This record gives sequence, C-alpha cells and structure tokens, in this order.
Amino acid sequence: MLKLELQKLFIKPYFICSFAVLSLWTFILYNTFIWTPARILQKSLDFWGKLGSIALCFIILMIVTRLFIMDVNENTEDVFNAAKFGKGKLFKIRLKAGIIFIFITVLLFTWMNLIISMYFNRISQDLTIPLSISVPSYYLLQVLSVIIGAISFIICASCICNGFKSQSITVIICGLLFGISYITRSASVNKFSIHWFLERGFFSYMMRGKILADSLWEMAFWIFWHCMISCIAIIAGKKVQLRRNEL
Amino acid sequence: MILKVENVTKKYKDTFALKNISCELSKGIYGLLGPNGAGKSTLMRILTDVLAPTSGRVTYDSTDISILGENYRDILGYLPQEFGAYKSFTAEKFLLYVGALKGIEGKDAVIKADDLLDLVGLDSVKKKKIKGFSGGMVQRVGIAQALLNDPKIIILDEPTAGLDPNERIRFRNILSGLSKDKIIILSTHIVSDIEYIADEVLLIKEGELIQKKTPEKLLSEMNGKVWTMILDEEEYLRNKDNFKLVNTHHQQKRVEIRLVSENKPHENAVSVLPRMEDIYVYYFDHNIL
Repeated sequence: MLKLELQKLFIKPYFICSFAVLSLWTFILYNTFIWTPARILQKSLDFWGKLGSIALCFIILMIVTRLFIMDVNENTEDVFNAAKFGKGKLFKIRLKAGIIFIFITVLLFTWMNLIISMYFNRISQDLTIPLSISVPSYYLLQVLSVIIGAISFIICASCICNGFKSQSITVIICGLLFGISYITRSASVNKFSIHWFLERGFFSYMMRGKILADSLWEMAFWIFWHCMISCIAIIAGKKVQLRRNEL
Repeated sequence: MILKVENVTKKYKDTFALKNISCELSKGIYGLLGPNGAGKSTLMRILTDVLAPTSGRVTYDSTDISILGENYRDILGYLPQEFGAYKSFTAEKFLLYVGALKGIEGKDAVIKADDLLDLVGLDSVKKKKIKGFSGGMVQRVGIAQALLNDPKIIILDEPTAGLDPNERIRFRNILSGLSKDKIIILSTHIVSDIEYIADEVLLIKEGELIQKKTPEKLLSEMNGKVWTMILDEEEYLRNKDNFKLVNTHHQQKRVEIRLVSENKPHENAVSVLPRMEDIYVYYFDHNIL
C-alpha cells in the first residue's frame, strides 16, 4: 500500500522540478566560484535559505495535492471510502508516504548540494556560522531543522488538503503561511512580538535551515506551538471534511 | 444476512433527497428503479456508509453499519455512478491498489485481480494504462474492483452504463451467478437489466420508496393496464398529451402506440401483456415524447 502511494509521487514534474532547482543551484555556485571562490562553502550553507526551501514548499504542495486530491479529480473517492481501509487508514498511509518522500527529497538536495559545493571548492575557506559549533555539526543541525520543518509543514498541508479537497485553497492557505517568514524582516523582530510569531511560527523558518530556538525553554515553546498548529489543522480538516460530506 | 434500512431520511439544505425510507434486504438481487434525481444514488451512498443519513439508520444483522465501520466495509463491494480510475495506472495496478485498500495484498491480490480482469474481459489489456480505455472498459474495471474482496453485499449504481449489449449480457450472467449467497443492489436506467435478473424491484420516486415487490408481482398488477392501438396521425397528435405513452411507431400516415392506462383508452385499444418498461411509465409518469 505504502509502496503504491510512493509510486504515485515519483512523477515527471517532481524530477523536472528537482533537476531545475539543482541546475540553478549549480549555476549560482559556479558564479560564486568564478567571482568569489573563497565563499563557495559559505554559499552552500545558504542553499536552504531561499532556493532550497521554496523548492521544498513547491514539492510539498505538489505531492500533497497528488496524494489527497487525485481521488476527487479522477472520481475514485467513493470507491476508496467504501473500501475497508479507505477512511482512516488511507489518510495515515498517504501522510506516511508524503513524509518519507519529503525526507528522501531533503536528503537528495543535501547530498547534491554537498557534492556540487565540494566540486567547486578548490581553496581552503573561512566560514562564518551563527553558532559556536563545528561546521559539520552546524550543517547537520541545519538539515535536521529543514527535515523537522518540512515534516511539520507536510502534516499541516495534508490536513488542509484532505479537508478541503481543493488544490487552490490548499495552495493559498499553505503558501500564505509559508511565505510570511520571507516577508517579515528579521532585524525588526523582538521575541514574542507578532512579527516573531509570523516569522518563526509557520514551519518555513525551519525549512530555511534556520535554528528556531536559542534556549531549551524556547525550543519547548516552539515544539508546543507547532504541535498546536498541527492539531488545529487536523481538527479543522476533519470538521471541513464532515461538513463537505453533509452538503 | 439482513440489511435493514430504518426510517432513513437525507436532507441537503432545504431539499429532501430521501424521505423516511424503510425496507429489509436479504440474499438476492434488488433492482432500484426511479427517474433521475429520485434519490437512488443517495440511498446507495448511505447503504455503503459513504454518506451519513440525516435521520434513521442502516443495520447489517441488527448492528448499525456506522458502528461496524471497517468490518462492514470489508464485506462490501461498491461501484458508484460516476466511477473513475487512476488514468496513469494500468488496469492490473489499479486493481492491486484497490485490493490493498480492501486488505488484499501480495500473491492473493495478483491472482484475484487476474481472475476478475479475465471475468470482465480485460485480461488482454491488463498491462495497458487506463487513460487509453474506452468508457465501457473503465466501467468493466469498476465492476472488477467491486468484486475484488468477494463481498457479501454488492452495491452497483448504474453498472451497465456504457456497456454494449454483449457486455451487458455477460455482466448480467456474472451477477446471476453471484446472487446465491449475496445481497446485490443495483440501480439502472436500462429496465431490461432489472427485468431479467432482479428478484425484487424497489421503485423510488421523489425520495420515497413507493413499491418493493417481485417483478412478477408488479407485472401481474399491471395486467389490463397496458394497451396498444393504431391511430391515424391526426388523432394521435390530438390525443397524445392525454396518454401515458410507452412507445410510438410511425407507419406512413398511421401511428402504432403502446400506452398505460387504468381504463380502456380508446375503442381501438387492445390489452397486451405488460413489460417492465410499462411499469416504469406507469409509476413515474414519464412522458417520453
């Protein structure tokens, strides 16, 4: 079952999107290599900052709509709902498939980014990283942050998509939540201000490879916050789904 | 094995799709007959637990089907009115996918899918993608998926839509063969399908169940109510709005008509043996012309 759901996701647009992103990134790194070769590794740490995270968001929305709206578009919804595992279990399996798929995608992008930057890296470099840890540890932490952010985002997007069964509504809601982080200026952000929540509260901050919290209690707060958002998305999705069936 | 519909009502905003429907179904084939919008599909969706009734309930062996949940759906095969399949999948792969949803996986699923594709005559195209299939072929995939889990209850909403006469006959024979130990409910606009295979006919009009009888009983009740006569065209045109016409056959300046009427409609009228089509016109006042 899981295998068949995963097979549904490995489609042409995914490969085209991944290829386009990695080609563009290669081009950017090549330019860096030509003009500022000493900044290659520093640049590679920025992969998730814009291009990587936006591509990931696009892929998440693409696979979520493929997983949860394909039934409506292809008129198979009633057949599946009348099948033994068609109601609760199917959603869980699809969510699991989405999580596995996005995990693979993050790893693929990470490896490709590493390989490309290593290829261009011909001289020793000085790196500036935000935390007082080693570069490999920082890199791992960044990837971990991206994975957690992407998984949280896919859970939220899946619930919205499964509830509304509409591609446009899913894209608007999720795109808005995701985009907020990019339009909020970090410089003007004070802790617990509205901008702070807008910048960090909706998954994309983590998907940009940024470290969400600088203390343990802050980490606990964000875990609670994101769990709460996911729960709201799950409950809202269920409610909308019930209402949709009633109408 | 009894499927019981108890006072089921379904309301969409201010419109009643079903009004207080009650009936009991045991082993056999039940034909659901009614015009478009009568509530047949709504009733079928409620029977499959895809849709919840506004009030009332459906029980299987005295237990509410919504409580039975997975256990009920495990013994259910359903073909909806607008059946579709993943176009990017092959027929075999789609059946394996539905099989997995029904709890059939591995070799069992492959064997079952192959058998059913053979049964519906799609064995030779099982490796081809569904996007290249005709409407009738997709419908046959739908019939096959409904039978995948060897269901005890089979609900088919217009299963013969898009099938050619040969396929319809093949399908009817499949259903007859299955009906011994199953509850089969099918709705169709092709009255002859019901005439040949249904053990009982349920007539639904404007959300209400108006009759539930065997075809023989319904036909016997129609004795003396079906007439044929030949009229000249002028007389026919003058009277046609007053008749419940079943069929007209224009022959030069004369028209041979078949109609249903409680009383002899014309001095030339001759009483004939009723058919299911006459029942449809009689109950649903369907003005064909």
